Amino acid sequence: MNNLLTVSNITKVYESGKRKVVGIQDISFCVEEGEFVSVIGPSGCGKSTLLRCIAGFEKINSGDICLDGHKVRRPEPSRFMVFQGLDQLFPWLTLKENIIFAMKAVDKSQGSFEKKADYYLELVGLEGFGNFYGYQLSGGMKQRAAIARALSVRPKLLLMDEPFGSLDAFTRRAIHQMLLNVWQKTGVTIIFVTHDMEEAIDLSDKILVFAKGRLKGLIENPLPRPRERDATAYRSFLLKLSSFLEEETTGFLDSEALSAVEAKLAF
Amino acid sequence: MRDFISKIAFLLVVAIVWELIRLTGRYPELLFPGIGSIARTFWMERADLLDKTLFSLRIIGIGLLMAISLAMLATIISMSGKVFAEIVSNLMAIMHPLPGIAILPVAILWFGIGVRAILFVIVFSALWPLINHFYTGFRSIPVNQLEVGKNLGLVGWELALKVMLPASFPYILSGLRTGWARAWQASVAAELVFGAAGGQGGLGWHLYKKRFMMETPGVFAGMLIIVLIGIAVEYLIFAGIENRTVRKWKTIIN
Repeated sequence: MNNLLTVSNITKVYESGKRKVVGIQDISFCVEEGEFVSVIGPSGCGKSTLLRCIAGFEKINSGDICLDGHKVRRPEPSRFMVFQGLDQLFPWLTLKENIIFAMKAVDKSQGSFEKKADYYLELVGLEGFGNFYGYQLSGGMKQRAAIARALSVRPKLLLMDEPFGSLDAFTRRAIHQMLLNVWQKTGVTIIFVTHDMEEAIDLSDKILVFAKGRLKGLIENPLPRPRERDATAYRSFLLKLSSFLEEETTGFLDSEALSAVEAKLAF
Repeated sequence: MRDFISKIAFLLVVAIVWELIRLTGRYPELLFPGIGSIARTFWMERADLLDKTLFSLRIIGIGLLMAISLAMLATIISMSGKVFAEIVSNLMAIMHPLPGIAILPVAILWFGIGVRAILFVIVFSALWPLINHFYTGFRSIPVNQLEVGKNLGLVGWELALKVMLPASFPYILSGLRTGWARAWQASVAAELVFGAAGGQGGLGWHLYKKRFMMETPGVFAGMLIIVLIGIAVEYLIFAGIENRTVRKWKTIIN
């Protein structure tokens, strides 16, 4: 396996007036091609900040982020983000038009965008919904569509910032299965931010544990796929992960998270 | 369309009340002409009214197009840096409270009495509310949609036209409505103040002449056409755009 993403010693500090709040501090890790990596931790721990830095939405204060040997400087389609919000589809375009818009923005040539758009809609289980507008879809379908649009630009790295955080448990299970299928079919590398431990275990090969803006540990997921939540090995790994998280996040007060969030908002 | 019909029905009710007041005979015909004589004047002077209407519409159209282009330019520039944003917002703070018609003396000094002075007043009157709406709209775009645009590698003009413009369309549309109304007001007001040069003028000039000649039915006929155009533009143009855009996308309520 080839090394795809290298994050070395990055730090991101938010400034609001005189106050400086550390978003993330001295983070280093690597992601291999085709891997599914989860980033987990409590609210305000910096996991979203990390993802936004990798996407190029935030300027880092020090360190380096390299994708395929190229330094990350700005947002690019090769690192594509799927957000938590249900408003990320362009409401003035139908699903299909959303996908074609993305493909055209990235690839200026006159290709057979129509057919490709249909392919990506089918990939996420939305065949037949191409002519729907966003408001006509449920939350789960909107997120599926956002994933289809993200995949259509053929990113090397798919960045997912709690994409299923607004969905109910039933919808989530189905969409997890879809995401795993898509991941295996396309071979895309995924970094997935979540605060849900079971979600992280269900989906990923590797789990990065964040607390207070620092990377506390990198845990390999030993469970074979498909992962059954009632298996003994699953329960014991979940227990291990949760006790590790608890240990690392003790003393991490909600007020710290709050002040970090406040500083970001003010920023 | 139902809305359009209800507006016409409302006008009919106003006409009936008007007629009832006239029938009491308490006001002289010279000041309070009947609907019949207004309608007669309207019909007899239809060629002249059409002429004046077209003149007004043309000059308002040109002025509005200029104002819209300038407003778009100013908005995009002000989005591209803190310094520009401050310049534009300072300009807005100074210029927006100034009624368009208050700029007319300066316009006359600079451009003389004529079409160019009116055009200047129209552009000035429409520009600031347009910038205000466009700027507010551009800053109210859902962050996720803006970042998806950036993630696709769109920057500058491309990002503005392909993402920010449609994403802020509810604001753009209400800006256009306000701009249109301001342009009308400005064109009529400017002509009411100094008439028209060389016999060429629009509906404001028409009102001015009719008032001067004490032809009250003609004054009302001129007002009537202004009201009718306002209704027609709202229900045939703006409502049409709204139905094909923000209503279809459900980016506004209802």
